[in-house]
Amino acid sequence: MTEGPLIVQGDKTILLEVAHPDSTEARHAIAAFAELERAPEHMHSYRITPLGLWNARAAGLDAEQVVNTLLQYSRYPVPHALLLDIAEIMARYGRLRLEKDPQHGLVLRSDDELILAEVAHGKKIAALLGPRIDAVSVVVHGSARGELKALLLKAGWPAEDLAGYVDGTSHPIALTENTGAAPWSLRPYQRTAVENFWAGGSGVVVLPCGAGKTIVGAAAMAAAGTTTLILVTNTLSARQWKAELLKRTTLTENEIGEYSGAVKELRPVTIATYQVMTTKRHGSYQHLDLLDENDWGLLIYDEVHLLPAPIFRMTAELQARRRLGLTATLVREDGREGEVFALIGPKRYDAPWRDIESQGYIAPADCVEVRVDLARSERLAYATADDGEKYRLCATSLAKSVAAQQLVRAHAGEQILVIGQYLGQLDELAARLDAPLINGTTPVAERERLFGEFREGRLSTLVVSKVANFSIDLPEASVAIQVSGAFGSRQEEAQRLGRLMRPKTDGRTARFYTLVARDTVDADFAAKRQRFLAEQGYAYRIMDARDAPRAPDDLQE
Amino acid sequence: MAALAALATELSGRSDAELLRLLQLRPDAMTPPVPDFAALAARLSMRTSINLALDRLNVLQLQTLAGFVVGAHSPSHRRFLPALHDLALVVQVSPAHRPLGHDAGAHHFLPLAAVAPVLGGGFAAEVPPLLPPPEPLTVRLRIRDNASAAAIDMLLRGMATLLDCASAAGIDSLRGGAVGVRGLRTLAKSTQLDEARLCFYLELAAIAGLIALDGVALRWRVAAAEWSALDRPGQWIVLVQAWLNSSRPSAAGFAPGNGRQSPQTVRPLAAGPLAARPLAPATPHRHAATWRRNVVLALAQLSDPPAAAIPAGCMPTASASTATASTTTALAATATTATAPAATAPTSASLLSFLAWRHPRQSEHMATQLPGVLAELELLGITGAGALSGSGCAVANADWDGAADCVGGLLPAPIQHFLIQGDLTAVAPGFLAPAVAAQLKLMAIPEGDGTAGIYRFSQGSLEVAIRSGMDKDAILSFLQHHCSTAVPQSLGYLIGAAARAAIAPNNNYLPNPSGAANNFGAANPAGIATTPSVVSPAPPRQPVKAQKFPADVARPDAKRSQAVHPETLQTAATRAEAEAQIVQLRSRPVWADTGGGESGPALVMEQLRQAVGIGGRILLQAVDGTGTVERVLLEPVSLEAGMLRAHLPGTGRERRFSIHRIVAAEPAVEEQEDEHD
Repeated sequence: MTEGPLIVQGDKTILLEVAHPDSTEARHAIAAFAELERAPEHMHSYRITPLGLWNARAAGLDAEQVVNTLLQYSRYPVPHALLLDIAEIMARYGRLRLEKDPQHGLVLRSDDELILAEVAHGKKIAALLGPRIDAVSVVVHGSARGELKALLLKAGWPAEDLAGYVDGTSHPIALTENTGAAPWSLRPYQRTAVENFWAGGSGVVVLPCGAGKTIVGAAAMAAAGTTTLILVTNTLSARQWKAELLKRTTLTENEIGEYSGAVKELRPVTIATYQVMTTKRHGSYQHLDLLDENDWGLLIYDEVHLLPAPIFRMTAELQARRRLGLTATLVREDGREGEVFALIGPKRYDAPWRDIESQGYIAPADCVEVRVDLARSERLAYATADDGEKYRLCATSLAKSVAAQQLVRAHAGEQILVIGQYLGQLDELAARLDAPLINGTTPVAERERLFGEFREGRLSTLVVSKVANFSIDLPEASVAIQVSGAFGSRQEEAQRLGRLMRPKTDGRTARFYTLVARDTVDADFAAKRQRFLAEQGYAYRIMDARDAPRAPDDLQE
Repeated sequence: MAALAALATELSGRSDAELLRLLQLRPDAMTPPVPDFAALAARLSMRTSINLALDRLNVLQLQTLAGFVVGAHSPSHRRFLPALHDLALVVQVSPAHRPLGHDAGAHHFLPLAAVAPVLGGGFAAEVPPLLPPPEPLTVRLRIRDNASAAAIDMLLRGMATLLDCASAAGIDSLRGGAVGVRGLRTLAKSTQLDEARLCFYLELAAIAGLIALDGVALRWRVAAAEWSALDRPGQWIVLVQAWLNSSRPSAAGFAPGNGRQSPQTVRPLAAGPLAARPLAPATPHRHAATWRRNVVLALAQLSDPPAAAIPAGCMPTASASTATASTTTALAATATTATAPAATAPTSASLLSFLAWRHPRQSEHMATQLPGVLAELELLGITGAGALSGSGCAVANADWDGAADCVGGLLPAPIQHFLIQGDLTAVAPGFLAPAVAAQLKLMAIPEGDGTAGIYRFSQGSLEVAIRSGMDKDAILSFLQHHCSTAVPQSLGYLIGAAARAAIAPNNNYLPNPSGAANNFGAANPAGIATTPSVVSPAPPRQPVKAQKFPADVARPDAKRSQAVHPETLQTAATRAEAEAQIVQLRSRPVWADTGGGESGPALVMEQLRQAVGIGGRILLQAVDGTGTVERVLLEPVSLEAGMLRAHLPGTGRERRFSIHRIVAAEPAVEEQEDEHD
């Protein structure tokens, strides 16, 4: 036994004691093969997965190094079965290889004909394979590269992809670091993220909201120096990307195109929305051709955790091109994180939110759960409602509106977002607070105007629906009041907090209030929603509405 | 051939040390204790006892004995006679018998008459004629010690969890005691143990007497709660001793391999006969304990350096070549780690060859048993990555104090504190003291599986604690006392909320689907009774199969045992019994119970056999159907199928006697013949 900072558990998790003097060294050592799962204040938790181990093999690590790392830093004995698993799993990587053959094109090779026979026996895989060349090689349909890799991964025989990437059409792009009136430079973690991505070829970068993921994308584009297709969640986000690229790179207006419902521009750097890409007309996707219309050298997926299924399929066909996924919350409520890794690439960089916060790059945040009591009539309605109706009833309680109003008054003078799920509730709140409402029906131009006024400080309070959950850059927002949400969605909670996380000019702490109806399913959903942030080290405080902050005037009342 | 009488006399002439060694090598001869040397000789001449003794012999010893019995004396085998004498398979004779016996140096030996009929033909063909050279695999000491320590830690944690389950509601069993498939699955879920491991732990708990079957309620219940109070090394020793002495077949097995598997990659799986139905009634196997001991000793002898003494003439010629299977590279000493301290472990195949040679009569069964025994050794931590661990070496030497020290050094010391984090989890960064863990489990739900304990608080879990009788202040004070960080504000709030909710008389307008009511089950995966109103287990009944708890072997502060000769691997109890037996033997004449004692029937049979062999006359006493004792002079002709055939001298008439009706037989002397005539 050593006095190391790690505790390796039998369930394949690794606990890292943050306060230990060797914790940084150990964190870097295990980051190569274990995925950060939770990062609360004292003990961070990593998980060893086959995918992580195969990625480590792809990066040149062997099982002996992984085992030695665990034994070196572990405080207690490491379950031997786990070490055996690691050796066995890592030995599977590279037994199958995807190679470029001058005569046959893309081929799948193995050093063991039985493995090839085993995988080729599967119906789904067999459909992607062409004729046999010999006992240990088989032709692969060119467009099936991604799907085959995903299926082989699922079958437990990950293929080492040696077929390489296409370079795409060359298009020089440079960052405008340390130039102009407002000089800037890449932050250390952004630089590391880009380096890791570039070294790995493709993959996902996970950074907290407000930590500058767009700049990571811009730096990746500068490193690639090729035509780039950027896929984003909505038009507003596309425009934010464009503005940011103009600010951070040598690209000009003419070099950047928007491909959305409103505009269809095809330029060396094209920013398309997921929505337009997945629009169906006459039963087929009309705009997927965009992907083939240019010899893209790099594809960037913004908010990759929201990647819709058709884009998944399309991505499977684009395996010869470099792919970068960006997200703050790689938790999918549909459990498809694995597909993101298989199709976009492994996680190349991930940092605990609190680490970035401690470096001053994102604003510190104070998360508060405010518990309200339902009125007697509401309690009766709740008690007699169908299960399907219960959440809506408690989530839209009038008591929440009253509490929200109290909080808005208490934070007068600050930029406040009031966020909710139910339109009726939001209408009522907008009227009560005398604030504009942005929801799905608000035209893009109107949204841009309202967000613009909010950014400039001419509007201090905005009531927003889930349209403002992500990708909206509101640097000066410092208070968010969440009145209702999509049940227990962890990533929605994190994304909503993310709206507040741009560092404030005066360095003040952002406040994130969640209003919860006491002793109802709302409280259960709230507990579930808070899991992601709590595991990132954001300790929620809980208080009763009567103890919540009040404006001085309210106190006198 | 030496007769029973000669053996009895010879035994009485042995020194105490020789007798002690004999009784430790053949403990069945003193079970139950014998009154005198004649009875001991009779026991040692019984077929079953001789069979057990023969099972201990290696190829050369068996060949020596077989040759000796048929009168073929080979000088090269002379050196094995003292070992056979130790086992009382040959008898040291006086110089008067010298022409008939074998001269081994200054000693003269005769084979015991009872051995010849038991010896039989050869043994399995695959037994190597010469001691096979070992094929050692190299295992880094770090890997070995880590594997062993992790297995011990897991075993003790798993056993504690299992006993928790058994102490609450008991473990469901089928008629006869077996735990059914469904019960096993449920138990695996609540203990978070995989089924293979759970099967072995269940068997182990039963053979160690920690659980016993309540035959009326058909539930296994905790039978020896004091085990939990022992220190962890003490707990381990109780389990290992129970395993070593068990007559149950193996409950574990290997993962199906490709035949090239090395012990480093041993992955215990449910594959043994009891794997699918643990605790099922099974015929006790008389060799099971011997096999286990033989495997441990063989591992000790094949270790480098040997952890146990190898009898003279048995040291194999070392032709070690380092071999590693492809998947074990990470766990074996490889070129890059060649300088790392390493131990050697035999491959399964070479271990089996060694055992077949050492115990050829058991080779066939051993081939089927070895995988299970090896898997169990890994699960117990006696071996780590296939190599005998430090504690395993101590076990092989029966040095229980040494084993306890070794285990104590490997396992993390219990800690009293934990950390509470903002995500409402308490993390104990080590092995949390059982008393603290039990308290914490009342108010938070355990998560994950490993040395570090993780517990998640929720309002539901706290309400369970309140309902079990703790109040808000008690919970807070417990947390503040054991939490090395500040208790988060949100947890303080939830404790207050739980206290209010638990005492609120009328808050059932809240059909909270995942709230307190459901959380009780989740908080209490093992179904542990936290309040009498929730679970009321039936009062424990007298256990039907309760076994004696070996309380004298593992008290934390007690001397665990004296070391004995490594080859015997006996417990302290056996040595003490042997010493007591010797005192008893020395206190009485050799023939203290002549005729009426245990040696009587054996002597009768020997007389009859002798008379048949040499054509002599005997004076027989037999009981007829009316109970009348008849005395008759006879010339025995044959003794078979439970019947004695004999001629009446001078008449030519033949008579038959059932052996069970014969009460005495003695050689006829002339006066008796005359008297009879």
